[in-house]
Amino acid sequence: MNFLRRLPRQLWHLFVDDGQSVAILLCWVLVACGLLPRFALGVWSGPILFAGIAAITFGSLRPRG
Amino acid sequence: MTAALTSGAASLVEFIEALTVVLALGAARSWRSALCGAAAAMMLLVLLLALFGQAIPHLPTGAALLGLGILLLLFGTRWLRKSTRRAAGLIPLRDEAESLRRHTERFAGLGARGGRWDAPALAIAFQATAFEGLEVVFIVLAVGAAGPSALRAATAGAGAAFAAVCALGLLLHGPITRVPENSLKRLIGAMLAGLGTFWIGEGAGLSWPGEDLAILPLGLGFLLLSVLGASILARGAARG
Repeated sequence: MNFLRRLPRQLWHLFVDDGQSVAILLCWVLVACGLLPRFALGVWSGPILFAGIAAITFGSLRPRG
Repeated sequence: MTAALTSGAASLVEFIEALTVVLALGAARSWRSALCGAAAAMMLLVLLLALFGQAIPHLPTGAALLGLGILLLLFGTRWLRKSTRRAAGLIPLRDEAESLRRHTERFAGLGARGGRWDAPALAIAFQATAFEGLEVVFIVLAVGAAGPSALRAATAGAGAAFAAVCALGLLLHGPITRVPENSLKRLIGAMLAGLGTFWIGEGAGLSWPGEDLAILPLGLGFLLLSVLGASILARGAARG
């Protein structure tokens, strides 16, 4: 029973260690995936998605607090 | 080959952590209970892998790629953040020998041992192996989602890592301390984040220069970001 009680928390922490960074990352992914296909960016639409993700990840490397 | 290596290296790190807990339980409590708990957890993980492995090819391609891509990106960047902070010296590197000592001390203080079966050892070994193994299941499924051959390769990689950790555990009768866990975690975190980013783009209908070949530069980009980040963080920490 203890295992089942801890399972949701463990699954959550599999993907989320820093709620604020994850929220910003998800916002960027949603905005980029919604907007980028509307512009004629050719093969650069993917790298623009990456540039945003890389910038957010870089900013999240310093521990908070 | 890439799927097998990625999944094998990531699984190696997770199985080493589980082995340390099982060794501590065996030494402090009961080998029979510790090994049976770990074996039961492995059976559960194989079952989960078989169940979800069957389901993945039937998911709608665009949505599945986008969803898996997001999960892979979150998982990869979590590993990347942690390993970068460790490389920068902001948090201590994981020390399996010290971890074994601490766990053994804690498990020995859990109260009197039962008769044939030791319930705490059984439960802790099951939970530790299952929780570390969940990460392995996710990695195998995510890396193997590219197709049946990738899934087979990723499963084989994880299986080989499990066999290697078991063999080394038996041979050494102690924790595996010489594997550069943090460097592996950093490399795999970067590759998974790169793969996740690529799949998000594919799922959303974005284009990449070089198509599938873009995965490697994306992974290298994340790795470079981590190396640069660790160096800046280390310099900042040295200045106080």
